[in-house]
Amino acid sequence: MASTAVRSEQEQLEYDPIIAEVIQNRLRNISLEMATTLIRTSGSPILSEAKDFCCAIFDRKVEHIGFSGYVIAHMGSSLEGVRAVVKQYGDDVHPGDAFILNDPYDGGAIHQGDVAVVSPLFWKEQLVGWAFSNAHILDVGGMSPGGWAPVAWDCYGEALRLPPIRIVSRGTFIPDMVRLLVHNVRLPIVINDVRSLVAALNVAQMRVADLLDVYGLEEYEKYVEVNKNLCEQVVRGRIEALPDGVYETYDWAEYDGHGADQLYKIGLRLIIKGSDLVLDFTETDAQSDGFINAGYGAMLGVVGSILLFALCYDMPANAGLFRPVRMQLPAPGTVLHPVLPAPVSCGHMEGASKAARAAAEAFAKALGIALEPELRQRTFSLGVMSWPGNSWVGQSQFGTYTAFAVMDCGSGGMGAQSTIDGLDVSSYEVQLGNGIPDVEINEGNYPMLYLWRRLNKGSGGPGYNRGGQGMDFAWTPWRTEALTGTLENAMSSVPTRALMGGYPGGTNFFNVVRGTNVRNRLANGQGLPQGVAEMGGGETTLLNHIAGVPLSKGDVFHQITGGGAGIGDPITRDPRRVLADVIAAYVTPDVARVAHGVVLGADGVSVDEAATRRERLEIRRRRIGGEPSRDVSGQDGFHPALALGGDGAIACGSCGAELAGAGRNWRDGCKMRVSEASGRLAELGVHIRPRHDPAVELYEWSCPACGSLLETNLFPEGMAPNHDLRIGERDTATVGLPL
Amino acid sequence: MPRYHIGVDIGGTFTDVVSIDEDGHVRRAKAPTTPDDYPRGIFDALETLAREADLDLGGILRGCELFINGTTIVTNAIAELRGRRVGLITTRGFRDTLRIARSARTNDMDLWTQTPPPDIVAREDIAELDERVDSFGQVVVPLHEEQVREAIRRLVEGGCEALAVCFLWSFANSAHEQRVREIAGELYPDLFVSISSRVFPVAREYERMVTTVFNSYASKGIETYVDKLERELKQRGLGVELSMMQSIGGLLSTAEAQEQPIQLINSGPVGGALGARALTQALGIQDAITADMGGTSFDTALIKDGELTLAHRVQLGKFDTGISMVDISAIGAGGGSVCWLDSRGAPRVGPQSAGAVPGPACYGRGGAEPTVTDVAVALGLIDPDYFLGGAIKLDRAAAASAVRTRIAEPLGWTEDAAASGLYQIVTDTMANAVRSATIEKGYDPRRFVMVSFGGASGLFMAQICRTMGIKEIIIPDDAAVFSAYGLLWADGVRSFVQTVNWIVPAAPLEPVNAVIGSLAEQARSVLAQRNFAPDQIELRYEGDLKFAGQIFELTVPLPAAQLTEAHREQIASEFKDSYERLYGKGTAWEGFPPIMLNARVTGIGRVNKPALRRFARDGGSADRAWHGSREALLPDLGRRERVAVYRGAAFAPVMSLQGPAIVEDVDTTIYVPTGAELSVDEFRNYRLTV
Repeated sequence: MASTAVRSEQEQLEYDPIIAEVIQNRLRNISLEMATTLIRTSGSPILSEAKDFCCAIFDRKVEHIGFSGYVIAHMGSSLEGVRAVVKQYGDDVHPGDAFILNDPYDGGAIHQGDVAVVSPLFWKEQLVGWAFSNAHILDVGGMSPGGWAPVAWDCYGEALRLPPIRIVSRGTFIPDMVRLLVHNVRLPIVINDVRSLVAALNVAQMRVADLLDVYGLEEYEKYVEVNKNLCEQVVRGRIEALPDGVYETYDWAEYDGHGADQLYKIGLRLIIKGSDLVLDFTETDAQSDGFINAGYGAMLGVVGSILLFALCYDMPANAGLFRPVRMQLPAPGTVLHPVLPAPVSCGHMEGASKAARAAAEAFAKALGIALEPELRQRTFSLGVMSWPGNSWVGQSQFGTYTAFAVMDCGSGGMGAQSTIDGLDVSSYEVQLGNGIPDVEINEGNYPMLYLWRRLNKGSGGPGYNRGGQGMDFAWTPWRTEALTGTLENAMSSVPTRALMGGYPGGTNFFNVVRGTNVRNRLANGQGLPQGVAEMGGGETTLLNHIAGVPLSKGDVFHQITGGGAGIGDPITRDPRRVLADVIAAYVTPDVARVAHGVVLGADGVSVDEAATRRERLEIRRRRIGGEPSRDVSGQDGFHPALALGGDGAIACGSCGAELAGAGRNWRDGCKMRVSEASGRLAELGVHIRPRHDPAVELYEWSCPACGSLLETNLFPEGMAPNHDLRIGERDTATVGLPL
Repeated sequence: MPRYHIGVDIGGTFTDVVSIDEDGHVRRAKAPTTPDDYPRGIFDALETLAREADLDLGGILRGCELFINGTTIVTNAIAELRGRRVGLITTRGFRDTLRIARSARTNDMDLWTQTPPPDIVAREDIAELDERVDSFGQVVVPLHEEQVREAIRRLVEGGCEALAVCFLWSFANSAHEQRVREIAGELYPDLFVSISSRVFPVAREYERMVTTVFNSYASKGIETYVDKLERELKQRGLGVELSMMQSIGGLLSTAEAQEQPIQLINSGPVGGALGARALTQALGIQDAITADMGGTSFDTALIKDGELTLAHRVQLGKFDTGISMVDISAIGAGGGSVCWLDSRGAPRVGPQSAGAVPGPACYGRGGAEPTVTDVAVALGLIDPDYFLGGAIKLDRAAAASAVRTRIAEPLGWTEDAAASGLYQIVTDTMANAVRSATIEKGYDPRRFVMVSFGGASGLFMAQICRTMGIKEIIIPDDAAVFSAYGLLWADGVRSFVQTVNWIVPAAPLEPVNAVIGSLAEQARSVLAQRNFAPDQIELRYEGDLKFAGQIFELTVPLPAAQLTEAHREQIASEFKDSYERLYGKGTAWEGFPPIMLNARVTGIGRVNKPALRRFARDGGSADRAWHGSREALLPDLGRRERVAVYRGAAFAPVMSLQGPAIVEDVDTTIYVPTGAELSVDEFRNYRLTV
C-alpha cells in the first residue's frame, strides 16, 4: 500500500493514511461511547441537559488521543488530571483501578464541582494509556451547594478537596472512600454520578483493548503519533498564515462578591512568530480573596477552547493541536496564577473566561488580517462566555428537603460569525451540546411556577451579523414557603467585546421582585403577570455574586441572560434581515433605525429603501463629523474591518484608505467616539448594568474616509486604549511553557 | 382468481411494488418516483407488476386483499419543511418555546454549524392565551373563552391553514386544550386542529409542541394524496381499503392517517426492518442486525428475541420530537456519498452526497467527485455494463479518473491504493455505526446475524462484518426492493401512551391501573373498528421507568394488564435487570425507588399472511451460474486478481461457492472475499459466511 511521509518537529514517520484515519475514527467513537454511557446512566440534569462533562483517552505519554467534546474546556482538566494521577501514583496502578479527583490546585480541575475519575488502560497486563471522565456533580460539600461558593474566603471553605485518590481498586469500590464522600455532600445521590463516571471508563478499557487486539501496541502507538502530527501540521500552517507580531488585548473580571465592586485587569499579548505562538498573560492583577481566581487546568482548558474555535474548527481533538502553543502565566499570586489558599471555585467562569475573551479578541484580529482569504472569513465574535448559575435550597412541593440548580442559566446568546447570526440561547461557549430543561421538567421536579420564559429580545449585539439572543424568564416559589439561593454571574457590566465594528450584546441580570400581586391575581382568576410592571412590586438587581438570597411566597425571581456580540458594521446588515428581526419583534423599529440605519415603510412591514440609504449615509457623516470622501455603500457581503498591506501599513477593510503606516497604531488614524457604555448601548437596545469607580466606556473607531465602523471596544474610565496590532514586532524574550 | 397482498414503497428515486400470492409467490416491479403526482409512479409500477403476473392492472387490483402503502410524503414534508401554514396556540408567556428550542447548541467545534432550527411556525402565527395548569394538574389560571375565539379568528383570518394547540401540563389536565378544539370546531368546522394532549400526551412541552405542530404541518399533503390514491385505486378495481404504513411498524387506516399524519413519518425504512423480522422469523433466527445501504444513507436496526426495538422521542433533523418509531439509526453514507480529503489530508466518506444529479462520476452526468459507487466501479467490483441488470451503463474511466484526481494524486498515491483505501474507510465508517447502534443498547454485535439489503450493501457487507466480528450474513432474494417487500409483513399496530409518574414501590395502584385500562380500551376499540376480531388482537403493556432523580427512562414490559401489590417487586427487579444489562453490573441506583413515568399500551391486530414459498433443492454445482471472470482489485488483499463472476439468476438452493468471487444479481452485486463462502437457502436468500 502507498505511504506518505509526514514531517513533524519530532520525527518523520512512514505511514498509511487509511490506518491512521481508521484508528482516529475508532478513538473518537470510543470517546463518544463513553459519553453516551455517562449521559444515560446519570440522573443529573447537569449532564443530560447542560452536557457539563467530558470523556477523554490518553496514550502512555499522557497526551490526548481521543476526546468526546461537550465541555471542551476539559481538554485542560483532563490533561492536568491524568498528569496528577501519574505524579501521585507512578507505577502503583493496576487493571480495574480508578482514581477520583477535583482539586484545581492538585488535580487540574477547572473548579471543584467537576469531579473526575481516571483509570489506567491495560492490554495484556501492560499499561497502554489512560482514560478520563468527569462531570459537574450536584454537590461537593463546602459552604454552599453546587460546587461554587461566592462567600468563601479561601479554597478550604469552598468544597471538599480531592487530590488524586484511589476509589476503585482492581474493579471494586473502596467502601471507606465511598463513605467519606457520601458523608460530606448534601445530596448522597451524587455517588451515583461517580458510578457513572467509572462505567464510562470501563467502556474505554474494553474498546481500546479491542483496538489493540487488531493492531498491536507498536502499530497503535505509531498511529496515534501520526494523528497528532497531522493535526499539528494543519494548526502550524494556519498560524503561519497569521502575520507575525504582537496582538495585545485586555479584559476585566468583575465583582468578586467581597468588598468593593472593583474590576480585575487581565492583559494578554498574543505573540506570533512563524508557526509558533505564545499567550502571555503577564500583565494581570493580583489574586482576589473571592472565587474568581483561575487555576492552571481552567486556564489551559478555557483559553485552549478559543484556540480550538479559531484554528482547529474542522479537526479531531488530540494533543497535536496544542503543540504549537505556549503559555506564559503571570507571577504566582495573581488572578490567573493563584496560590493557596486563594478560592478558585469559579475561576473557569471568571478569571479564565476573561483570559479567554482576551485571547478570542486577539485571535479574531489576527485572523481578520490573515494571509489566507479563507482564514480571514474565520474571524469571529464571542457570545456571553458565562453561565450565570443559581442554586436553591428549601422545602420541595413534596414536603422534602431539596437543593437544585436552575439549568436555564445556560441560555446566553452565541457570538456572531462572519457567515451567520449568533445562535439564540446557546450557553457558555466552551459548553458544546448544551441543552436547557423544559419548563415542565423544572416545575415537575422543583417548587417553581414560571410566569414566562421567552427570548431576551434585542440582547444580541448589532452588527453585519448580530449576536444570538439570550433568555428572559421569571418564576415564583410554588407549593413551598421559602427558598434560599446562591448566585453567580461573571458578566454584568463588562459585556463581551464585539469584533470588526459590531457592538457588544446585553449582559446577565439577577433581579428579585418582592411582595408581588401574583397570588392576588390568581385568586381573582386573572392571568399571570407578563412583566415586572404588572406585578405591583419593586424590582431589585442583585450584584454578581451573592449567597443566602431569600425568596418567599409571592416573590418573583426574574433572570435575564445576555446576548452574543455582533460582528461587522451594523449599517451594512441587509435591510431585509433587519426587517425580519423587526417583524419577529427581536428589535424595535427605533433600534432598526438607530443601530442599523434601516427605516421602515409606513406599513411597518417593509423597508423604505431611499430613506434607509439616507439614514445610513447620515450615520456615516455623524461618525466622522463630515461628508465621507469614499463611497462604499454599494459593497455587500462580509469583509474584515482592517486590511494589512505588504509594507505593514494598515488600511480600512472597506474603502482601502490607509489608517496607519508600518509600526503605527491604526486606532490613531480613525475618528473616535467615547461614551459611557451602558447609556450608549441602551440607545441600540442593548442592556448592561451601569457601574462606577471605574465606569466602563465604549469606544467606537470609524474610518475617516468612508465612515465605516471598524471597531468598538471597552475600557474602564482612566485607562487609555492601547496599541493593539503590533505587526512585525518581535518578542524573543517571552517563551512561555508548553501546554 | 389468485389473491394478492400488495406492498408499495415510494422512495426518493424509485417506487417499488411487491406482491405475494396465496402460494407465497413473490413478484416485484419498480418505476421512477413521480413527486409531482405520486400515484402516477405507483400505477406505472403496478402495470409492470401486472404484466409479470400475466394480468392487467384491473385484474391484479381486483384480486388484492390487502394494499399497503409506505410513503415518504410526510418524511419529505418535514425534511424539506414544506407543509401547511400552522397557527400555534400556547400558554401566555411561552410563545418563544420553539425558538428557544431547549438550546440548539450541538457538540461541534465549528461555530459556523450553529444555526437555529428553522421556524416551523411564523412568529406572528403564534398566539398566547391566559390559562395555566400546574405540575399537579390543577388549574391555576382558567381559560378565557373570548380570548380563545379572538385568537382563533385572528390566526385563521390571517391565513393559517391549520392549528396546533399546546399548553403547559396539558398531558396532566387536557380540559383547556379540548375546549380550544371545540371552539375551533364551532368557528371553522373544516379546520384541521391538533391538540398536544391527543397527539402526544407526555411531559416536556418542547417536543410535545414540535410534534403537535408537525402533525398539523404535514396534514395537507397527506390529505390530498391519500384521497387521490384511494379514489384512483378504487376506480381501477381495488375492492379493499387502502392501508398506510406507520413509523412504529403497523398499518393505519386512511382516516387515521389523515387525523395523525405524523404517524406516517419514516415509514419507508420501517418496511425494510419489518421484512427482515419476517425473514428471520421464518429462518428461526432470534437476534439480528439489519443494514440497508442505499444511495445516501446507511440504516441499521436491531432485532432482539425476534422483535424490532422501538425508539421514542426521536430527533428529526434539528428537532426533538415525541415521535416513536422503529429504532433505525442512519448515517450519511451510501452509494452516492462523496469521498474527500480533509484539511489533514485524511480520507473521509460523506455525509455529502452527489444526489441523483449529478450523481456518481460513473453515471456520466457531470459528477467529478468520487463517490462510494465510483470506488466500487474503479475496483472492478461492479461491472459497468451490468449495473441494475444493464439498465444503466456506467463510465468506468470517469470513476477511475475521479478517484485518481481527487484522492490519489493529492496524496501521491496510485489509483489502486486510493480505491482500496477508500473501500476500507467506507467499511470502517459503517462498522463503527453498527457497533455503536448495538453497543448503545447493551448488546455485543458478534452474537448477531446480519441481514443486509439495499442495492449497495452486498459490495461492502463482508468486510463490515469481518471488522465487527459478525460471522453470518443473509442477503435476501428481494434485497433491492426490501422496503416494499417488508410492508407485506405488517400488522395493525396502535400505541397509546400517557404520563403517570407512578412511584413503583409506594404510590397507589388505582390511578395507574385506571390509565392503563383506558389506554387498553382505546387500543382495543380502534383495532375493532378496523375489523380485527378479538382473537386477532393482542395487547402489550409497557412502562417507561427510571430511578427517582434520573432524567431518562428505559422501556420495560409490564407483567399484567392490571397491576397488583405483588407486581411492584417484579417490575422493580425487571427494571433493575434491564438497566444493568445496558449499563453494567452494579450501576443500578441503590436506595432510589423506580418511577414509572409513562404507561404505554400497544395493540397489535394480526393480519393473516401467506407462508413464504420454499424453492426446490437443486443438487447442482454453482458452476452453472458461472459467467466468466474479470480482473478486479480485491480491497481486502490490496492486489489485482482475476476473479470468477457468477450470475445470481442461475443460482438455486443449495449451491455454494468459495471466495474470491463476484455475484451479480439484477439489482445488487455481492463481493465474496477470499476465505468466505456463499450459498443460497431454500427461500433463495444468499447466505454469506465470513
